[in-house]
Amino acid sequence: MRRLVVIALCAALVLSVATRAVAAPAPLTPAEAVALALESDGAPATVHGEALGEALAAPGGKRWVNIGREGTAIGVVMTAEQAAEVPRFGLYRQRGATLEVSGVLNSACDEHGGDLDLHADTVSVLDEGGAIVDPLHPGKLWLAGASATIALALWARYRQLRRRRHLA
Amino acid sequence: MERSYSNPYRHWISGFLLEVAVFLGFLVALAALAFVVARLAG
Amino acid sequence: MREVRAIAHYLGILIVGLAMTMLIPLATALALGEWEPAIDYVLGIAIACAIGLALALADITSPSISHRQALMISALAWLSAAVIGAIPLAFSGNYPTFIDAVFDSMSGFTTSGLTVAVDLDHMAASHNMWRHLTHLIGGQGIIVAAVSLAIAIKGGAFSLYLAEGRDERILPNVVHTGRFIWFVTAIWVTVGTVMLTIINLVAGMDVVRSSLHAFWLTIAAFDTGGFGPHSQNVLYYHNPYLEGALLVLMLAGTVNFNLHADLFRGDRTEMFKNLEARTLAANIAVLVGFIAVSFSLGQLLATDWEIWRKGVFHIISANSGTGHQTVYAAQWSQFGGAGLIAVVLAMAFGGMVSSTAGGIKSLRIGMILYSVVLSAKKALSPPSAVVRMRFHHLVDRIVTPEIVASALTYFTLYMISYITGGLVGAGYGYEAGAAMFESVSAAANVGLSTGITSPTMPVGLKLFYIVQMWAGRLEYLSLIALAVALMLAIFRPRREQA
Repeated sequence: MRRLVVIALCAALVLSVATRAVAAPAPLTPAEAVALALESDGAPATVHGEALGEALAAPGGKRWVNIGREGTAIGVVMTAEQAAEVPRFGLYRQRGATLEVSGVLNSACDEHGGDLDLHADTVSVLDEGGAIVDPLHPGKLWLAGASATIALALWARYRQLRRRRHLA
Repeated sequence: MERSYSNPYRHWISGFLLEVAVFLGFLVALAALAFVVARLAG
Repeated sequence: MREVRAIAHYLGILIVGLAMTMLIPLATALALGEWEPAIDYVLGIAIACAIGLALALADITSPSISHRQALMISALAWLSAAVIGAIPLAFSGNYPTFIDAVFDSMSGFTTSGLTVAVDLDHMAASHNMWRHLTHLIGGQGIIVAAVSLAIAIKGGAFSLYLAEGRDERILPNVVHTGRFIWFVTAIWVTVGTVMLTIINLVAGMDVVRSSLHAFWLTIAAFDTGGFGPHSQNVLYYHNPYLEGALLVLMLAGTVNFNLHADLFRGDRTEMFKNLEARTLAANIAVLVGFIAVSFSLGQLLATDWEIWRKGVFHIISANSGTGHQTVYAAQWSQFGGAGLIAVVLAMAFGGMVSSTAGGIKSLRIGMILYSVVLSAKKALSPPSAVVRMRFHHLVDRIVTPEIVASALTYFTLYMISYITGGLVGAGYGYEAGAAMFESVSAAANVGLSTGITSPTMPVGLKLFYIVQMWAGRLEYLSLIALAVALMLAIFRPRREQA
C-alpha cells in the first residue's frame, strides 16, 4: 500500500513538472516577443517586463499596459482588474512593477487597428518596483558655478565695451 | 498679379477653421481612396 | 579676419538666445522637483552664455554682413545649436557619449526625429521638454526666432533670413513676417495641445502627463519633428484619436506659411490653385493608393481600419517629414514591397517649401513634372512655335529654364545625399534596403527608422547621419558656402589684413 502511494506521488510530481515545462514557454523579453510575433502570428508567449507610464484605456473596457526592458516595450491588453493589480509604473525616478504576462501575441491585431500586441491571459506581479535615486553630483554644481561666473564676467565686459563706444 | 500684403491677422479665426476643415476633408478623401483601391486590388 | 569676427559675433548672439530658451526646461525641472536635471540646465545655460558672449565679444560693433557671410552663419548656427543643445542632455544619463547627445540635439533642431536615447521611458520630464522644444526652435528657424525677438542683429536681419532658406513675402518687413510665423504656430500649438490633453485625460493619463505629452506631441507633429517621450514613439498610446489629431497637425505643419497667411487673410482660392499644394496632395494620394494595394494583397494589415492606421498614417508621417511611427522597426517588412517603396518615396519627395518639412519639396517635384510636360509639348509642336506653360504659386508664373534648372539642382543634391547615405550604411554592413530607408530618413529630416539608428550604432555612422541631417535642413547651399569659404581660407590665405 505504502509503495503504491509513493509511486503515485512520484508520478504526480514528475507529471506536474513535465506538463509545466511543456505548457509554459520560457519567459521572453519584450524585444524577443516582438520578434516572435513577427515570426509566428498568434503564438503563445510569456513575457517579463517593467510596467511603464500608466494603464491606458483600450476598447471594450480593457486596458493597455506597455511593458518594457532594455529599450523595447510591448503593449499588453489586459482587463481593468488585472491592470488595477499593478502597484506602480515606470517613470523618472521610479522603477515600475515587473510583470509576468502570459498570453497570445498578435503581429497585426485586427481588434486593435493593426497594433502588434500581447493579449494577456494571466498577469502576475514579480516585483513591485520602487524608487530610483538620481543622486546630485557636486561636480556639476562646481562646474555650473564656475561657468556662471565666467559668463557674468564676459557679459559685464561686453556691456562695458559697448558703452564705451556709445552703442549700449 | 502682385500679392496683397493686407493684414493676415484680420480673419484669423475663420481662416484657421477653414484650414482645419480642409485638412479633415483631405483625410476623409484619402480614406475613401484607400478603401476603394483596396477593394479593387484584393 | 574681420569677416571671421563678424561671423563669430552673430553666432555668439544666437547662442546666447539659445541659452535663454533653456529656461523653459529649467522651469519644468523646478516645477516638478527634478533637481538633478535642473542643475543640468543651469549648467547648460551658463556654459552656453559663456561661449556665446566670448564669441560676441569678437566684434561688438554689430557690423553689416554680406549674403555669403549670412549663409555661413546659418550653417554654423545649426551646428552650434546642436553642440550647445547637447550639453544638458549629455549630463542627463540618457546618452552614453557626448556624440549621442549631439545626435539627438541635431535631430531635434533639424526636426528629424531619429533618436539614440537610452532608457527613454524613464527620462526626466525636463529633459523631454528640451528634446521636444528643439523641434519648435529648429522648426521655426533659429534665425527667424532671433529676428522676431528683435535680438540686436542690426543690418544683418534680412540677409540672415534669406540664408535660412525662407523666401516668404508674407509681410514686407522681415521682423513682422517672423512674428506672423510665430502667431500661426502659437494658434496651432495651443489648439493642438488642448485637444491632445483632453484625449490623453480620457485615455487615463494624469493631468501632468496628459498636458506635457500633449504639448510635446503637438510640437513634434506641427513642427514635423517626430520625437516622442516613450521608446515606442506614438505606438505607446495605442490611441486612434491621438493619431487622428496628429495627422491634422502634420498636414498643418507641412503647409507653406504663405498658404497659412492666405487662409488667415480669407483667401480660399490659393490653396487649390497652388502648384505645390496640388503636387503634394496628388503625391500623397498616389502613394496612399500604392500602400492600400500592398496591404490588401499582403493579407496581414488588410482591413480598412488597419490600412488607415498603419498605411495612411505612415505615408503622411513620411511625406510631411514628421516621422511619428506606430510600428516597430522590424515591422516595415509587413508593408510589402510596394508599401515600403511608397513610404521611402514619400520621405524622399517631402513637403512644401517654407514649412518645417524636409525632402526635395513638392514645389520642385511639381515644376520638374511640368517641365517634362512642357518638353513633350515643345517636341510635338512646330519648331517655330513658342510654347509656354503657366503655373500658379502664390502668383501666376511661367515655367522658365531657370526655374527648372534650380528645381533640378536641388533634386540632384538630395539624390546624391540619399544615395551616398545608403552606400555608407550598406558599407557598415546593414542591409541595402534598410540603409537606403535610413539614409533618406536622415537626409530628408523625417525620422522614421528601420532600427539602424540606435545607441549601439557605429560612431562613424552616427557622425555621418548628423552631417546628413544638418545638410538636409540647410538644403545644402549654406553648407557649400561654408565649405568653399573654409577651403579658400586654407588654400588661399589673404596676404594683407583687411
